[in-house]
Amino acid sequence: MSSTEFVQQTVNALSLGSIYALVAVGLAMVFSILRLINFAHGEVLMLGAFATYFYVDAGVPFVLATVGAVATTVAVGMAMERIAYRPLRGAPDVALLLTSLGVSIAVQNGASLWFGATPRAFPTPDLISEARVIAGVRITGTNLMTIGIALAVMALLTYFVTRTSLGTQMRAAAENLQAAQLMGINTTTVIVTAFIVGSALAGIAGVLWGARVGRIEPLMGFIPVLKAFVATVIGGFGSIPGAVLGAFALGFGEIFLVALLPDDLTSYRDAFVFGALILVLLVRPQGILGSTEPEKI
Amino acid sequence: MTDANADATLSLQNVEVAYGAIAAVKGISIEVAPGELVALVGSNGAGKTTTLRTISGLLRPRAGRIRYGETDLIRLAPHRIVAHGICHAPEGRQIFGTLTVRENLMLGTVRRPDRRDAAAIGADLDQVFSYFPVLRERLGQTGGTLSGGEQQMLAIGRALMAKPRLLLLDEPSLGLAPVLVDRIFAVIAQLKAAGTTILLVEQNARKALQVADRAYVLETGRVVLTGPAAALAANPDVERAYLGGVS
Repeated sequence: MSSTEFVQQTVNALSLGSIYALVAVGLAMVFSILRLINFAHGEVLMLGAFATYFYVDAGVPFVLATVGAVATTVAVGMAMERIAYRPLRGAPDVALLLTSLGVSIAVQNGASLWFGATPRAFPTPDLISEARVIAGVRITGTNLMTIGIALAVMALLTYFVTRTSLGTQMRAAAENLQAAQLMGINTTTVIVTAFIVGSALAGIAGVLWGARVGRIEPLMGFIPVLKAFVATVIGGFGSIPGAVLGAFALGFGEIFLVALLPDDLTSYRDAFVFGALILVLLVRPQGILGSTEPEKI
Repeated sequence: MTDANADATLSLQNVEVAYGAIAAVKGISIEVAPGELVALVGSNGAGKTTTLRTISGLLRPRAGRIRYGETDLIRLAPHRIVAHGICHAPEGRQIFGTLTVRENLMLGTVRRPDRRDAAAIGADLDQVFSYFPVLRERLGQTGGTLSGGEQQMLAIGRALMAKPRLLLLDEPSLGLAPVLVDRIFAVIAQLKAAGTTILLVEQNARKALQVADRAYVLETGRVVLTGPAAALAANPDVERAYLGGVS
């Protein structure tokens, strides 16, 4: 691999890892507090991409449309929490997991019904998608945008989680929900906040995924959420830094496998990804940054 | 926080609590008046911790009434109960191990109306450090790196940062070395002298009866004895059952 190609692939891997990270953080945040693996998270991403499409279709400029799309996914996430998950507060984890699968299937099918199953072209403006040559390396604007936005979002998120009172309350609730309640932390506020933040990140990821793949369709949320799930498991489920780390590990693994493997093996990319997952689970079941603390009853 | 609760009495009337089909508390009635230090003593499984968890809203009673002044606590979520000035330092410390000592302490303030008043919060932090000077040195460390005794101090300090009108202390001496037990009880006596109302749950009945004004003795979910702490400490039945007396 030439050094130019190496830089190109690195940028590509960072970009893919960025999207996985945005999705994985939302999964990890909700899981850490509710012990819920929210499979419907991928559908929030899908709705973010479709909302952008429809706003642009209605004549809204692209950048404004993406802002509207994120607002839409936040509303969707809050509705999911209120309608599907809040009534199950205190129910066994399995009930929550099955509900999230149900929500996922319902939203996928609703979207297929209303939007049609035919893929649509995602309306990324040429100004963003076209490639630029920087220091002899061709880099697409989409990749640069993805990395830039993900970095900015992660910086904001870090500030929120570590420096604000609500962020500290979230970390406390994630560690010990009952002790958090005894300190006067309103668990509903904290849970709704996790859904708001997670859904906003999923909405952003939906826009970036749409721009990356170029097409959007109602089932598009499945693959990113599955990869994000793998990323959170690799990083240590429920740990936000772990989710980011796992996401970039996965992004790099995928991109460089494809770049290095002979052409006739690249279609086995996902087999390698899930093989890596099995290996991590065998060697370190709690993930890279996961704690070994036994589950509290 | 309402001023109607400024000198509120906590009163439990015929409270029953069950875990599924198993009754843990079978109709107990308890009162804690403002300024009092009341102890709940009794052996393991007597229902002491269940009683505290029910007062702070983590458990719903199956029957009975819990009132704090004019307020019916049974209808309230735990964070609303904290807003009424009742703070619970739970059994087993349950400090946040991944958060710093400062963050743990500041979490105590989330329901305080004056939580943005830096001067008031700073003064209360200083007050906590006057009880537990070691916490000042540990401010930047995560809770999980503290020793067991320091964690207990943090658990009490965190509850004190809520500026509680009524402090619920669950087994503050559990698992601590004797010198630390003495230290914790000295602070409890100081808190009482400062006018804090305290409901103290303890297996160490001797220590509890030394600091308390009154006490209730619980046995398998029922109050079997109650009275002034000094009288209970002198009671031969209590002595035999809970104070390790040989007479």
